[in-house]
Amino acid sequence: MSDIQLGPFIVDASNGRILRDDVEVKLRPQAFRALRVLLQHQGETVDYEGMIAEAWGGTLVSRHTVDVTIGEARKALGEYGGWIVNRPKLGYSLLIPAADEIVRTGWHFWNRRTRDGFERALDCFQRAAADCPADARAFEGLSVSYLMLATFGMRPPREVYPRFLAAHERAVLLGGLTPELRCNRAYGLHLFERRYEEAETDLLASLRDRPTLAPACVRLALLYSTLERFDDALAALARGYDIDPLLPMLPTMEMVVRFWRREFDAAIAIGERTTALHPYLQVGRAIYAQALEYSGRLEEALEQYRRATVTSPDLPWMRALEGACLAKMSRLDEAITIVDELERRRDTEFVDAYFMAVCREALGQREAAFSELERACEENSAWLYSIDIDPKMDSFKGDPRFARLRATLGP
Amino acid sequence: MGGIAFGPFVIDPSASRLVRDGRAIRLRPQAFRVLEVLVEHTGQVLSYDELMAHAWRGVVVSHHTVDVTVAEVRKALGEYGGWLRHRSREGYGFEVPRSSEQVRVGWHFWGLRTREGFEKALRCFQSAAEEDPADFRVHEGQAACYMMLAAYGIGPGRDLQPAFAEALRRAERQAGNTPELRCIRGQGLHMFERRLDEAEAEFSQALRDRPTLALAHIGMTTLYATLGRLDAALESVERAREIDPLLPALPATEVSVRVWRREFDIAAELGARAVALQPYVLLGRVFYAEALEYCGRADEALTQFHLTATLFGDVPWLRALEGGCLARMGRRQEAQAILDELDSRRGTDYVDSYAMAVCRASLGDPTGAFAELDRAVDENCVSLYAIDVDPKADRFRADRRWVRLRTRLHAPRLAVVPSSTKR
Repeated sequence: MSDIQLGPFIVDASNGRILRDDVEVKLRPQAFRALRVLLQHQGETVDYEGMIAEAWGGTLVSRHTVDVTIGEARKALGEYGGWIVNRPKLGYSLLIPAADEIVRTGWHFWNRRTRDGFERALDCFQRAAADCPADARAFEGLSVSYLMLATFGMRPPREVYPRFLAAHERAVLLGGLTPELRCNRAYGLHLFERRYEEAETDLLASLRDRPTLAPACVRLALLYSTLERFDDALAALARGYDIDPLLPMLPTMEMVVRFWRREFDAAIAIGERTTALHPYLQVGRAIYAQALEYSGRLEEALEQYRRATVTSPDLPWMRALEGACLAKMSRLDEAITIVDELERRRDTEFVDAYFMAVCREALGQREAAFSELERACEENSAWLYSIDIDPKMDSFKGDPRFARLRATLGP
Repeated sequence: MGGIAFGPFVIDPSASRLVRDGRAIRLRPQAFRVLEVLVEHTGQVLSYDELMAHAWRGVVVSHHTVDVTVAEVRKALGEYGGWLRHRSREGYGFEVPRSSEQVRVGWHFWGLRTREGFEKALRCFQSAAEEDPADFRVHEGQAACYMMLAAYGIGPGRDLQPAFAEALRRAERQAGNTPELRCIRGQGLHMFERRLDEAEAEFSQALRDRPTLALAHIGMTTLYATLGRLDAALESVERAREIDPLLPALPATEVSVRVWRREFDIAAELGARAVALQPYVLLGRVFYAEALEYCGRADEALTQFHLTATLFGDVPWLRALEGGCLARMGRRQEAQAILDELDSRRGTDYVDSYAMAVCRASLGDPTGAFAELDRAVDENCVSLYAIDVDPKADRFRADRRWVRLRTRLHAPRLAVVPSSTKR
């Protein structure tokens, strides 16, 4: 009971010392006693008399001495010194922002990997960053939430990618370029800037610095797939499985690679396992559904699209894929209803044009499909990285407009 | 992110911390480095010289210093200390039993808290047991699965208890009374045997041994519900929250306590928050639906029942509760259709008799309901644990058959869980 956790600190009351990340922080015994008194009355104001009685054992000292001593304690807390608040003329109090808990809750929501989850995570990290503007973790969370909202087609990349960059830079400034942060940056370079070589360099470097960083393997696999180096992609995933076979995005990415290689049956087999292991992973189900759709099992695909929508009902592109599937099943009325619904939703929220193009194409509306693809380019849709390999793009490829559009995206 | 995981531990190299189940474990920096080095070289034996080279950065220290430091690490690993093996004169090696991967996958499935999840988890632990029967965790996992299969009404307590008791006995024989195992034992004593005092003692002891074991507070909460001590139940929820506000079972448990306290508006409000925080916990949605039903928002309750069925697949007792809700809304025909469907499924599927009793009672068939309740007692349905506080059982209490039923329920049973292992 003698240890009290205080943000990154452990106050070891029995030995009169304070540790930060297991390293002792130098503090005079008197300053330690003052800090302990504040800690014992966390959230309350300790007036000067009370402080002198408790920390100095009643020895009469001046207010100035108290101020100086508290100043030492504050200094020992480093960037967390602001937790000790002076109440002019009254005394002091220790107010610990709930940042730790909020950051943890943020990752909890983030790990859900739904739009609602990422938005809630964003909200948590924003609060944590406001409470503790020096906390690198808050900005790391913030940046990676923006990145995912852009990646998963949940918010317009043109708008959120710059926010990712700003939060990312702040996190690097506060905590240095950790392998995790480098890995995130590489992901952004790949998807939104299409600077593939730099992305690869950064991903490999983050894995070299932290060989257990399984998410880097997933992102490497995605990058290699974009470059049509599918065998390298599978090798990266194998490395990821060695590190952490339960990372949800691993089997999802494996499915994606098989899907892009047109190995639909293999993708379906992985999909069955993935949905058993991670039944609430929406993006996993979406890929599984596409594999079913492209191997002609439309009824089953439709059921999976609908289940994915139940998991998190607020993802427009999932509905667009459902619409495309319905169109292939000649259930045109239902498909058109979905397109109309999505057009209406565009007034208030982001609907990824890449998927609208797929849906329009399935409905035989080639003109409208191409204007959606153009719009996807303007909006810098995340999925454009897959335009060369995605089976959903195959039907466009004979059209001269596709080549022109493709050329605008660079190599 | 990026930590090295083994068993319930994660080594966080960037912060030089050892974390167990989300909680940091105190370890001197030197001991931490030793652990890190040994884990990095999993499966190899490191000589004293090699340990000094890697963990002491080449500083020469005595063998005794190495031994003492490794002993510290071993202590920090608790019941998993055996994974650090001493090869006399040679040095030390770190080895995770081969069953570990399957154990991890087992707990992953268990964490899904669905019928499919518990069944898959059980298979994982069983096949891990074939591979390494000396690893207590494979038995611990099995015991936890049998408990949940009963608690989630997937099978009758009567049929699941013997396997539960056997798995628990094996785990205890190998690992002694760890706090986690005490917690499982407490649940068994409570849910299967209604030996309430002994259950409370187990939870208390588990918490003395490991004050951060939030699940023991959850166990305590349900126990207090059985005892009708709903203020104490609420306090236990708070204790659990102080330890881990993200514990998946926490919001569901909190909503249930509010429902039992008849604070339906609060329950509904907390329920909405529960499904936002833990959307994929079945019981959270069920208690939320019940709270909505009892504060007169039956339509919303029905939506939640349907959503639960879509998310978690086919759970017969959930259908029975939905039938009860429909009957209360005056949609008797639909309720009757559900009841008939469930009756016909009983040949092949287990349908929790307590839920059937609720459904029959809502349709105005008290005799049928009491027959179901009797059946529930015969089957030792775990769902009976809250019968004294559950609003669904209110309608039964005025009936003369109620007293007899409770007497039967609390009659001493043949003890199947053996008394604590002495160590």
